[in-house]
Amino acid sequence: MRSVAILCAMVGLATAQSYTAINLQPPGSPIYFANVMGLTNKGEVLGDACIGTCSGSNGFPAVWSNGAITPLPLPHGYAYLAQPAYYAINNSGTVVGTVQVPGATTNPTHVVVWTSNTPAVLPDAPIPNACSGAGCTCSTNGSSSSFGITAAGHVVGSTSYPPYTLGGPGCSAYWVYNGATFRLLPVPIPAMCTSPPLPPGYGNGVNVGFGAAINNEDVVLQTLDNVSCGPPYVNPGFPAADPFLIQPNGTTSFLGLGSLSAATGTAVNDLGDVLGFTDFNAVQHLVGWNPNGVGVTDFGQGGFGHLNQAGDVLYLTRPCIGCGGVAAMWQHGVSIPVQLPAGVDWRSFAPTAFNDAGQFVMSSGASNYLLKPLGACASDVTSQFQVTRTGFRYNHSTGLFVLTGSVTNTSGSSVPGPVSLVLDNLPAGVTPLGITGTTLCAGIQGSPYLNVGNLAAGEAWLPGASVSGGIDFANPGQTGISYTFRVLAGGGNR
Amino acid sequence: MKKPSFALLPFLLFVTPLCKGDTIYAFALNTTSLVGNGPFTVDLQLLDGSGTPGDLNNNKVQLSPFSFGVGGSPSGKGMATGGASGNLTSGVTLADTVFLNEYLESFTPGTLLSFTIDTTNVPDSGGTPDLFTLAILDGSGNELPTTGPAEEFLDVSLTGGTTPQVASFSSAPGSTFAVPAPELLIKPGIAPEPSFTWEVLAALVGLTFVLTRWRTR
Repeated sequence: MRSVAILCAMVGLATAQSYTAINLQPPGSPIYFANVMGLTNKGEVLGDACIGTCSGSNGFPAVWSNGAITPLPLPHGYAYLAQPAYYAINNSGTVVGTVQVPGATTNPTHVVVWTSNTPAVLPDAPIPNACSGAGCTCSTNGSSSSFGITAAGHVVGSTSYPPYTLGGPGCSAYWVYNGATFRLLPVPIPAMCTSPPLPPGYGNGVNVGFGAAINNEDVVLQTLDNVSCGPPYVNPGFPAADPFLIQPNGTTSFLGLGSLSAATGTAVNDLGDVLGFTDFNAVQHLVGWNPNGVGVTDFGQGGFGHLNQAGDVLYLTRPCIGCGGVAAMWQHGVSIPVQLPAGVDWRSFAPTAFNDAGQFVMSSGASNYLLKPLGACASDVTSQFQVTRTGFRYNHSTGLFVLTGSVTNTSGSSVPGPVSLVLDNLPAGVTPLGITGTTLCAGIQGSPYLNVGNLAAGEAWLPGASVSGGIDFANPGQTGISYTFRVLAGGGNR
Repeated sequence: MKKPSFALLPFLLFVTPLCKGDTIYAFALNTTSLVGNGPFTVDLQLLDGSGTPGDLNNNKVQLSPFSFGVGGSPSGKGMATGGASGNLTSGVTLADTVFLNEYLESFTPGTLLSFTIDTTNVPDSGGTPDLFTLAILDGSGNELPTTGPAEEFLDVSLTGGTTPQVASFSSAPGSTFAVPAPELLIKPGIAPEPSFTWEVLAALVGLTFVLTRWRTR
């Protein structure tokens, strides 16, 4: 059982949220983003950049921060690979991406991690039978790609080695790299695809779809695609596509499809929420799963959407490019309309990144805007509350650290809700789960906060009232957890 | 009357830690419902309040002697992490030398798991106390579900003050095994710090030096 978080669901009101737009093109700068690939909780944007006109060969990764775009240096001897799916940034600003060896045909790509703008090339994952000598079926010229990075800097990716024999079986696997070792990811083959035995020469008929997503607990999301696991060989056969989760201990579980015939997963957060898409009669819809993998939510036709660690989904539904659409922020079952500023509209722009503070990036070709929620800042009421901590414990069942304690209103008067506990200055790689969002207003930016006391706007925390509970932390490195805290209250941004 | 000499200061500094006593508890957990099942593992943790240098190395929890009741015994194969040492036969010591300090050892449950907890109680400057906890893991390495916030049966929060803050928890409702909350009785008396011998010797040397100087004046 996970600890009972001291926060509770914020009750959203379906009034529109307004935003201000910041143009990511620095005035007078020749550098611009061709694609946006990530957004941190501090408002830093990872992009696929060019100087002048993008030709496909003059691109490079870069990070926008506070009005300036800073190129990331490529490791010596490598060229940029302009594939946004291969790039990601975590909230510490560490970037992962994939580069290629110019002109090579058997060793084309490798994974790079940029820490403080310094690149380091990762080794290729060791895969059985990719070796030299007797019994080896694949060469040692590996090719690797990256698909995501966690708060702790763990990378999910894939590596493949070509076979020695033309047309022979290759050696490939998806993996998670923790900075020291690779954990090869298992592929769950449904029993129905292997039994009864298929005719000679037939395989199991399924394979893992392209890419992988990872959350800060090192849980990986992938999709199993069905090529030929079905009638007449097996009946009824496996769905055309079904997302599955891989836990750090290697256990796997498929997500329930409900009434869907097939679906593909694209994102998983620390709560276990999953976002993906499906086709209804050849029309793509955005869909989501709750942490138990059931209860599929259809966000509608269009398929543009992003999921954050608070469980919010920013989505855009529109039947066709250029058509008017509906854009909204889905928070705990309530859709809140998004009111965009003039000049940025849903007909030509699409959301390309989303963070835990509710900020997002809208892109249309080379035009990119960072959208920030408008509104007053909440009040700092830290001096009016006593926050008592019991201490930390490591929970083997969940693999999480739990901090227990209580929050008490010691002010002698009522404090207007919602009340939020902000955790500032957490170490890199330590991530609280079940957050309500991250700060973007006064004080330290990008700090996670949790609403406590189950108070909606308009409700108040009575004097002397206290709530107790726990906060789960993902901390794969099992390093220390230091922090300072603030208590914010009332309406307005955090 | 002659004013006390500053030569007494070293003596006082040495003596001060001797006055700070440990808190000693008698711990007992009724494990009758676990008899005949298993394997189980005792999970003893001392987590530092932050893992930062200013908070480390200020608390120590000593656990001994372990008794398992009728039919119970330790396996003798344990695993220590961080500042953990010893075993369930000779006793276990947990010191907050790093953030996560843990001792795990499997055991055959008898009717009653009991031992003495001898702990210091120094608060961490970071505001989050060091926390000693006890849980029991099943054969898969997962905690037996309890009503505790992190599936533990016992919390001893080293908050400073007169005694630590203690909380105990029973099995969660509907659990396979119904283990009642452990009993924890504080034992009277002050136990010496682990470094008692050296501190006493040093204090005596200091006192001898001071007295010698007084006599020779």
